[in-house]
Amino acid sequence: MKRIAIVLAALAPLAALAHHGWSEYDQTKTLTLDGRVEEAGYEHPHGYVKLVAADRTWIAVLAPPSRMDNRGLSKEMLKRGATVQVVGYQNRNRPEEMRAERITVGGKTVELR
Amino acid sequence: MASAFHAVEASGIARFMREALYAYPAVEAAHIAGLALLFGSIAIVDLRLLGLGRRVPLSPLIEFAVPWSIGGFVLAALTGSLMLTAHVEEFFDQPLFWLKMALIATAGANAVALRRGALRTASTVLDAAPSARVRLAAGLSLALWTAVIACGRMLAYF
Repeated sequence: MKRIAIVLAALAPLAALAHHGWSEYDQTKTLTLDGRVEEAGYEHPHGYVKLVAADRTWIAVLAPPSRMDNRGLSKEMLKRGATVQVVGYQNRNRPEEMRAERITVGGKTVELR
Repeated sequence: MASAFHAVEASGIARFMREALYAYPAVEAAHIAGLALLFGSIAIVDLRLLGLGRRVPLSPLIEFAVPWSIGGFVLAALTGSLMLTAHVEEFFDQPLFWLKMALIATAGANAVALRRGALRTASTVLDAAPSARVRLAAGLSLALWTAVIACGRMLAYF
């Protein structure tokens, strides 16, 4: 009985998690952002760019570097100062974050999903 | 604490995990192999303890399978720690990560309690019909390790 109580207690936080997940990103509105790369992370489990756009500085979540590399988006292309366009969805809980579906850099568009 | 996390995240191994193109997926694959070995071997023992496949003698099954379960756990724990170094702070901020750790601790305590308690004292009668206590522990083991796997998978989606 004691063990079961421990398990139930351990499972309780699951209820608190219900509001997270992929639904975190608002897929009803597609965002297109143009900006300059302030910081880039070509890293696992997913890359990112800090993007200075017209309205604010965004964190755009990209794909795993292995996938980006396979699709021709090299680390060098994501350097600081590069001009890029990202298309994706805004995070409902972290309004400065967006999940990019594709990125255009140096005239080349790469699908990230 | 925060500076300790940063020190881990700035370490060579953490940077390697983040930046090497194929290290992370390779470690993930080894993590899955580890948990498959752990879950696969312990599930067979648990099913046997629940009373299935009673033609298989219990003692040699446990003696053979449990060391592989422990080996699988060690592999999963080592590879899991490697992935953890890459983003310590992000993982520690997730309730799901702590739920997973609590479930692992509970599953471990359940296994130790079973081994030291019911299994030791009841070993002579187990080949006939496992007691309710043994069956409860076996069912709990299956449920807990399944929940651990679910948590691990869900960590990638939260």
